[in-house]
Amino acid sequence: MARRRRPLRAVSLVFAGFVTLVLLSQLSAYFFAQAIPKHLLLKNAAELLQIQKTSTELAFAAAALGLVFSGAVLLITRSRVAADVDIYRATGLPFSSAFLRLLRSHSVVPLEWVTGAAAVTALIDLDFGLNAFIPIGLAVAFAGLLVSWLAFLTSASFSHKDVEGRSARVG
Amino acid sequence: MVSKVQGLLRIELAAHAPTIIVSSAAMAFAGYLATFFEDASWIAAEASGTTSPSFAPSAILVGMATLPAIFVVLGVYALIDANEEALRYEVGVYCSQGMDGDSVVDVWSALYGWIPVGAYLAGLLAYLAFTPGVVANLQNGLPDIISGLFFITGMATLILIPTKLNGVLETSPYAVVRS
Repeated sequence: MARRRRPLRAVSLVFAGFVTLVLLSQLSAYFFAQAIPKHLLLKNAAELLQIQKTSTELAFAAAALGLVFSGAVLLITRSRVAADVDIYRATGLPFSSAFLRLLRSHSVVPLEWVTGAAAVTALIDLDFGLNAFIPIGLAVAFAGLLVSWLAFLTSASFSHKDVEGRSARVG
Repeated sequence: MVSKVQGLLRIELAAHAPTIIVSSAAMAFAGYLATFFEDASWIAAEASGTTSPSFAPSAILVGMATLPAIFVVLGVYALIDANEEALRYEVGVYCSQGMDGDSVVDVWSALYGWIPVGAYLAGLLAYLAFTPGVVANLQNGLPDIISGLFFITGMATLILIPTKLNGVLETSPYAVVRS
């Protein structure tokens, strides 16, 4: 039996990868601080501050890059996801049912991956005393991007149908 | 044949420009991040000496430096996976024009393998160029750090990406015709 293709399977890997990249950026400041003995902390305070600043900037940069990268994957897979919406529309499903079906078939796995990665990252952040809001914020942004993209594709397909229907009535 | 491959490279570079740019930007960022980790590790080692337990976090930072590129390579793999059907179609079209399937895979490997690896090296060097004092910090270790990171990333990229692309070629209509 042929394996069923999930066009957004690829985005799961991107979501989890970039959440981990944010964690790595944050951890660098922690390990740097750990590497310096307590009695030398004051002497190296300026360097510590600089490393902490750079690591936070890089964590935000990784988050931004992750959003761009996932946006690219979503754009690449647009035609295949849009084809599914067209099938739902052709079977006569209303907008809300088509959207729910699309969410069920395309967003569950990527959302599971991003939730898993964010949960692990947040736990590590809390354990090491780091800011857990950055990876959690990124995970929420990923989820928002995915759901709004699917909503956009559904509404684009259904608005196309409205135009077709109006043209047919005029004809 | 060489001019055909050059022409194919130009066409594919233009057609896949957005994904190649995104991949290269991510790889350059991974390179920048890796040099930052290495630099932080060396500063820490210098400040604390190389005795345990201070040495351990510094060594962890060195290990962490290899990871960003691995995650980005997996991201590039995911981009190719998402684009698989279009690539399968493309290879079929090129082969119908008399182009060898392996040449097409070589061109894609250059675009999704060598260009991102080059961007990674640029990212490694960008941190050195734009952060004052890094070259002085890393001193004698600098060639080993750059070559080590470049080697690990290059190996990972140039094994994983061509393997995926060969998989695309094998499942394309071209492979069916050839067999």
